Amino acid sequence: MRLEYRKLGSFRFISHLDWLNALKRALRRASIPIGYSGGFSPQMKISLGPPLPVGVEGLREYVDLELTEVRVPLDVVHKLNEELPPELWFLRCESSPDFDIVKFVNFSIYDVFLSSECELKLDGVKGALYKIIKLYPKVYRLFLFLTPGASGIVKLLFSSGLSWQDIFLIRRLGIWRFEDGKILNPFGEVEDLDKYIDKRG
Amino acid sequence: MRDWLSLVSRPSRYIGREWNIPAKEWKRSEVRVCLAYPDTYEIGMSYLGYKILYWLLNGFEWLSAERAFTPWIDAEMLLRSRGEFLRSLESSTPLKDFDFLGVTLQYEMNATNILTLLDLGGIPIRAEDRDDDHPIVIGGGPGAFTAQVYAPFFDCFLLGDGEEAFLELLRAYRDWRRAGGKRRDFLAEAGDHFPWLWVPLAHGRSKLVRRSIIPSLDEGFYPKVDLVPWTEIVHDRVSVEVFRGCTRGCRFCQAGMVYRPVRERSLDKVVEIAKNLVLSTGYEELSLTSLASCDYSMIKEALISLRSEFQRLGLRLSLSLPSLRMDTFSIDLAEEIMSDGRKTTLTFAPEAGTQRLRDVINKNITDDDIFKTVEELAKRGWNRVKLYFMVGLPTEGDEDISGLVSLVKGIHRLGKRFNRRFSLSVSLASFVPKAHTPFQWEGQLPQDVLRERMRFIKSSLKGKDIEVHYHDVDLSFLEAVFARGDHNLASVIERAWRKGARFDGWDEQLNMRTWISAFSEEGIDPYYYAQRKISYDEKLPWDFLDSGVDKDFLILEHRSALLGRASGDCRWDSCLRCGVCQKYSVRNEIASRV
Repeated sequence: MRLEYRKLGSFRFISHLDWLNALKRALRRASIPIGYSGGFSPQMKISLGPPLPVGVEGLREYVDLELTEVRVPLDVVHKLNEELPPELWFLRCESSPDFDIVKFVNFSIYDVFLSSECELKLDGVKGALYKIIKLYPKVYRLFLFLTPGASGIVKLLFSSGLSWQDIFLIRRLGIWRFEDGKILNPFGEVEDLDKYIDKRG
Repeated sequence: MRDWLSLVSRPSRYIGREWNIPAKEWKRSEVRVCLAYPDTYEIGMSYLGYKILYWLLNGFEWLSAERAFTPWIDAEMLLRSRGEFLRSLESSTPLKDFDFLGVTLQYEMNATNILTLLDLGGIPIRAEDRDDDHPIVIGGGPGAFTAQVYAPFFDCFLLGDGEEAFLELLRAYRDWRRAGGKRRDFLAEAGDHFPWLWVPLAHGRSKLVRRSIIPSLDEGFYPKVDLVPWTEIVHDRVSVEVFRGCTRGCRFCQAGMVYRPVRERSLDKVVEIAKNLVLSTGYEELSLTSLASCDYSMIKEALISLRSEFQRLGLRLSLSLPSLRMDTFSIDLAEEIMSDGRKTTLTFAPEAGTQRLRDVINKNITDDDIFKTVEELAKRGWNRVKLYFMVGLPTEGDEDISGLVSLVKGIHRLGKRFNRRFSLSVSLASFVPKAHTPFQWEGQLPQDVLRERMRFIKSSLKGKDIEVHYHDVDLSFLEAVFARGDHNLASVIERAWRKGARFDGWDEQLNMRTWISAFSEEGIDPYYYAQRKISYDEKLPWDFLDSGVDKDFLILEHRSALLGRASGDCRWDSCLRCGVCQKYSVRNEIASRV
């Protein structure tokens, strides 16, 4: 199953690995039947999508789970949300498409909220930048061709001369695959990004 | 939300809101307590006593207990530069606004972190400078048995088991305040009333402070739930305390003296608690904790029932025991908990290298036990063994050091004979004489002698695949200074802290120069505290803090040590008249004998 979730507020400071452990414990509390690998140290069959850097919020993040029994997707979402705070809620659950998210996505959108009124210089992002919109005086929306590595966005901003002192918040709106002029989300569905361009999300 | 979190290392230790956090209106409780741990979040959250108090106190409507930890140095600097107070995790209340600040004293070298908690929390660091608006700062934990060292920073100390006593004190405080009483009067009154409470400003060292003892764990409180942190902590698992106290009688061990008698939890309770904790947290690992869990009389039964119980529930669970005894029984236990057949590292603590020296310290294992255990575990396919030894023990001579080397070599050879992949790791720590133990009259050897002995051991074991680690000798020296310290040391702690000493127990943080100059500026000779032998008739600075163990018993044990005579364990052998059971009308509670 592929699930979509969000990671907001102070929970954005949980590292990728810590979040994986927290999620495993939530799954156990929710009695969701997850499969285990074999071998000497059996591991829960769970794989998180591209990591969010520590300190970055995510509105649409992904995780794949392997269940040992068939479950109603919505039921999985509800049960899991009972074991997690609203900032870490699951939004959707579908049977997994047969592709690996990490290899699949190549495009992402970030909102960057600056702490002070300064022009966002993007020397470091140039190569990856598809589009940039200034939403408000201190808020920028970046459309990036970016394989979302562990600290990709943060590194890019830092290489443009920013530091956490200048940044109030970074939020990842989502990750997609940009292919043949089409945009596919991690469930394999075609999506229209107009809502991210026209309006303010 | 704290807007400074993106500016500090490991921000997840400051976010709070762990799973299972009680839904309380924190600010509305009649009595508000902050349990403050003088170390990082990861260490404090791993500590069992802290959990017990947290859940016990939060079970009452009129009472709430929040948490705070010493922020790491970068976060402290940030809070200071912004003029912000250290706040509790639960309701983000500055520490100065609580009724009580409870500080646990787990380790000598946390002392400077206590001052950070107070100062950053907006509380004057010395009790004499506090007034009716400030919280009552109370200390507890093993360090309360040497409370004289920290006395100026605290309003009171609770000696012994905290769960019932602290609650009693808080109840009294509630009633006192309802009647409109003042804080200072309350402290003096409470100090007169509660035998286990020491109020330094009211009583000086004239009161004989008695210990609070819970006679039975089964009847005491134990939490059904636990917080699930969002970040990895040191002991990242749920734990069930299988017993409290220990009567093995190792002569260097303070915990083995001051927490007597042994009080075991019943098997049913252990299993019931384990089930509650695992189901409510989702943790995948459970630890059975105590001072020596292999000694739990129902240990094998416990492991078996836990295994079958969780199998029945369809939950995977790994079990862990914090330390193993050197006998084949312990290896059986180790096999029992390795449900997945993984044979990793086994850890043992022979503590000394020769039979003679082990008799001196009353570590009752023989060379024969050691070799049989190693042969057995190597045969059964265990690859890696970790051994703990102490260096600089009383009466230790060159032959004990060379004995340690040949013992380790012998273990290595034997292991290799039965298992080609066998490897050894040896960890050396300096002996630290502790108050309230038979070795409280002994001194620590000079640092260069300790270093020389450790170096000799390491170089003698070179070339084989034996890893040798040793603890920082300077750190052990400071531990020794404070472990037998008196009231003159508080000013040294304060001075070192003002000079920037923080997290001194963390090897990379310890700055010896800061401490040495703090000592000299206060006119204190640290070597006097750490290294001198004390005579029996000298009055000791901690004599007024009564663990229940008679001084005569400690003298007797010390004399036996010097004669190389081992003593028995009153769980199996005859009573040694240490005095605790008679004085406090308690006795060893053994689960298998019920």
